[in-house]
Amino acid sequence: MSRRILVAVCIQVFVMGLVLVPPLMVRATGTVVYLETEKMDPRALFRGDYVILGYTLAQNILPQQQASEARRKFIPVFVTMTTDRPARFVAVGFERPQPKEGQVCIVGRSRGQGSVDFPQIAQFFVPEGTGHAIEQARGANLLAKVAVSDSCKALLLGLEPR
Amino acid sequence: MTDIKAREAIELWLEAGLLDPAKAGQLTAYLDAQPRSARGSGRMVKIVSVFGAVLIGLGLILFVASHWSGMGHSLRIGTLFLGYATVAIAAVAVGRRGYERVAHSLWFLATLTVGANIFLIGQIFNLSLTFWQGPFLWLLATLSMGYALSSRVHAWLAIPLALLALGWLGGGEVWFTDDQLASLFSDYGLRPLLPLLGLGLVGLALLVQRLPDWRFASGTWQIWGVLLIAVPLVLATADDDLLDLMFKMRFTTKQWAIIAACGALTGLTLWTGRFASTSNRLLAALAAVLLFGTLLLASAAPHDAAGIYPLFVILVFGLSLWLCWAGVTAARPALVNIGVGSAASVVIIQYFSWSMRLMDRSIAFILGGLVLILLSIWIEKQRRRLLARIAP
Repeated sequence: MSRRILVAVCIQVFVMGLVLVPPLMVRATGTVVYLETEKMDPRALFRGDYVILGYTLAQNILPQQQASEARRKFIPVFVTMTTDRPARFVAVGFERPQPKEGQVCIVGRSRGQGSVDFPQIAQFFVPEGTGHAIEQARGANLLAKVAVSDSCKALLLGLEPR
Repeated sequence: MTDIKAREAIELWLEAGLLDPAKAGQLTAYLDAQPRSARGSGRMVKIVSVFGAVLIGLGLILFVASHWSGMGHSLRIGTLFLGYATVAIAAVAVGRRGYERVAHSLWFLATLTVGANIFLIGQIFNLSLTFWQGPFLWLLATLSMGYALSSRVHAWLAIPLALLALGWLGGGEVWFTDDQLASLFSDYGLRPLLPLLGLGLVGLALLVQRLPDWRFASGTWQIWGVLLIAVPLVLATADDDLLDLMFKMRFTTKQWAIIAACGALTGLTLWTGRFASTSNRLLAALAAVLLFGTLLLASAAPHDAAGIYPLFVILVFGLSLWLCWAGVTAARPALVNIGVGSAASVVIIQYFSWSMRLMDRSIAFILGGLVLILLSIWIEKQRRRLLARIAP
């Protein structure tokens, strides 16, 4: 094996390892919060089977005008919440907040009508054929277990009954 | 070892003074004297083994997927890395036995495995649907292996990955699944920028010709670039509404950044790239300015698309003919083929567009058939004539 190929193999392994780092970091060091889920319309599947998740505390929290502007200009939205089970909404803003003790923030984006999406935790991949049952259970009875870093990054760890 | 065509190697040796013109002529004549089947068999081995590699890759993914749900996270990640290691070891073993082409295909499979692994890791951790880091890291892995092997297949794969990463960068604004494609094909995504991205890519392809270690990618990227320019432009000649739809742009910050980067790349190429003559350089500059101007005009004033539509059709036809000429002067048959195909498509589209409006449908079909037959004979004749000028 030539040196160039060896370097290329090292880069490929490094790249695969690199994908693992951010989620493992958030998983290891992040604060766990439990979010109430919202029922959403099922959509066609692209990357394996997954369930679409919306979050109750992120519904209708932005004034209409700000929501439209944030959507048009792709401005990130920061939602602060408590670490209670389930989490409760505290505040929303366009600047990264400094959450107090017992609070965390998650970065999202405006959906345009006042609600905020959290794209990082909006999909939960499931084994083929099991998505429908989870879709039926979504809502107040299903909590999303989410690890949140200090920089407002979120990682969906799993779904649990309330 | 650098994997380049024999003719390119002779050209390089000539430039470096390692060969004199007489010897170069003898070598070229010897190559031309070889039967086509002998020359083509190596390529056939490569194509068959690449297809084999892709099939094995798909089979492995399906096999892993069918046992996926029963595995824990650590076991899943371990399986992914083990899969990559198996393919890499197979590639090394096959290479050591002297089957270089098969080894190259296995390295390509290893690169595909990296991509599959990245997205499976994304699945394990429920990462975003517009997970742009995925295609970006896969692109880095592809380029590194492409560079190591001087592999055109890797160079080919790099372009859709780059487009995907660029399209997904910054996410999108549409709800969930729509995001994945909307970031690419909406008016705030890459769709209106495809011809400019193509122009930038052609520029990049001409620039990397100056770098011996990256020269392998130049031809592939040139063809990708030309296709990215030609396909949307020809499609947009179908109707003024389609012209409007295709190039309507929101001019987001990301789109401005892409326009600026493509402009800079094109400018740098016109300044420092290799051209056969000064007139070629000036014509290329004129084509680039016309392309930039028309696209920005169509994007900035979408409701006036009907006004610029006739000029747009003429421009696309003119650019197609220029591409044929550029292909001949650069001795690139692929460019001639794309140029002839684009020019013919514009003529056919315009014929059907006008004839359906101006005459009885049955007559339009009969005449259309005759036009297509005559046009295909003319195209084939012109194509052969142009390609004959390229052949040594």
